[in-house]
Amino acid sequence: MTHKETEILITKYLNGETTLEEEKQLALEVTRDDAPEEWKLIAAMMGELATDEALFDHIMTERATQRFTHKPSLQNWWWAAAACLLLLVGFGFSWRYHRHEADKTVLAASEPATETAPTASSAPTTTMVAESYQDPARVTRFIKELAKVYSADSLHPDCPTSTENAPQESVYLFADNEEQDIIGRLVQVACWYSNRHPGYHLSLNDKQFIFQLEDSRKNIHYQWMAERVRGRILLHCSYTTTNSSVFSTCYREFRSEIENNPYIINNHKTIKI
Amino acid sequence: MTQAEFETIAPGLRKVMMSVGRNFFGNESDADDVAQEGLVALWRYRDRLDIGQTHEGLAIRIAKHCCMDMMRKRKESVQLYGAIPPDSITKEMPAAQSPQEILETDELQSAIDEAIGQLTPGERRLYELRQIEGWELDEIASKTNISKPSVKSIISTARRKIYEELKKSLKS
Repeated sequence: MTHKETEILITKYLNGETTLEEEKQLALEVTRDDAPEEWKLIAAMMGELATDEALFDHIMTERATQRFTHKPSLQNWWWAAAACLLLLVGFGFSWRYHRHEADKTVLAASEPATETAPTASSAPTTTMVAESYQDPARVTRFIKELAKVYSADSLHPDCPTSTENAPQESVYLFADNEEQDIIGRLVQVACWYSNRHPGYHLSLNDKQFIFQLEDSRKNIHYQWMAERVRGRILLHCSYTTTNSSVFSTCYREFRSEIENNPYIINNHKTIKI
Repeated sequence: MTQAEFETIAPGLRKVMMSVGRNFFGNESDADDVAQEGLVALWRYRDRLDIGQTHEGLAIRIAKHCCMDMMRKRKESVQLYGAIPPDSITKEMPAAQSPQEILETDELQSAIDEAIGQLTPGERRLYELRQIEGWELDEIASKTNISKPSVKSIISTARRKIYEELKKSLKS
């Protein structure tokens, strides 16, 4: 920011016309070691809470930028190349082994059946089905971890014992602040999937985030909905068999209770919304 | 806010401040110090906290200030004793103040406190909502039932009064 731009911002500040964001920029300028004497009056007026907040946010932004723009050193490139080579060698061996096993199976099938009992070594190996990266349940697991890290309130709507086709629901109440940035994180999670994924639907505005997916193998419909309610983030995770509603009636009532009351009693605990 | 009321909101605010400290320092021990310092600061300010309002925003601001304060102290100890920096974070901080600068800052702060003391109660209230709580003008307008242009004008009057008083006190 130029000297003139800072002077303009100081006038705006004294006129009460600056936004909080502009005040953060101003705080960084007026607290610089080489700032003119008269600017130091503004720094003192802004107070340590404001100037330190600006500095804190600046440091955190710098760190995040460094993380993204960090260029790996030559040594790191050698390590990466070595790791790729190892992987290639590993794949080569694995491919040769499986091809050899497949050839043996074809040969065995073409031979006449014998009456010998199968031995453990000739028993078919159990196929390990690796969990797909796109498994929708991964989102719910991520949210559960997030709730644990940020000690979010886990809410339990007082629903009657589940009836057939009733959705399985979990509800969390997070703080709505820059540190946790729950909606931002959920958007990142949605980026794990593309619109080619079954049932993909993403809807986002500054008040609400809705994300839906389907697990077509298990015929399950997932929905995650985060809403800004009374200064908190209310996050509803639910899944159900396809074609039935992802919202239970009792969740709708529960949500309305949260919207209208500053305190709710949940699981024998009083929670401030 | 009474002591009992403060005690009901303190655990929630402590969590928020722990999270700020954890994000900044990356360890539980420093995060715990941030939350501890922050709660003490909030406790001193409790007379001005309203029970019906959320104070997470203020708790976050205070926690950020505590993080910066802790880093300044570490930087000072490095400069005084020439010890190895506890971690690389100290490099991100501006240089610590000299004794002369600390004295000047203290004098400036007393002048500001005196100038704030001369504001009308209405000016002081809105000035602090902006300055300490860090509320946007719209938020202040909706929570105080004062129109936004009036809020802007009152805050401007308060700031200009303080600025003029500061200039005067520095000249004398």
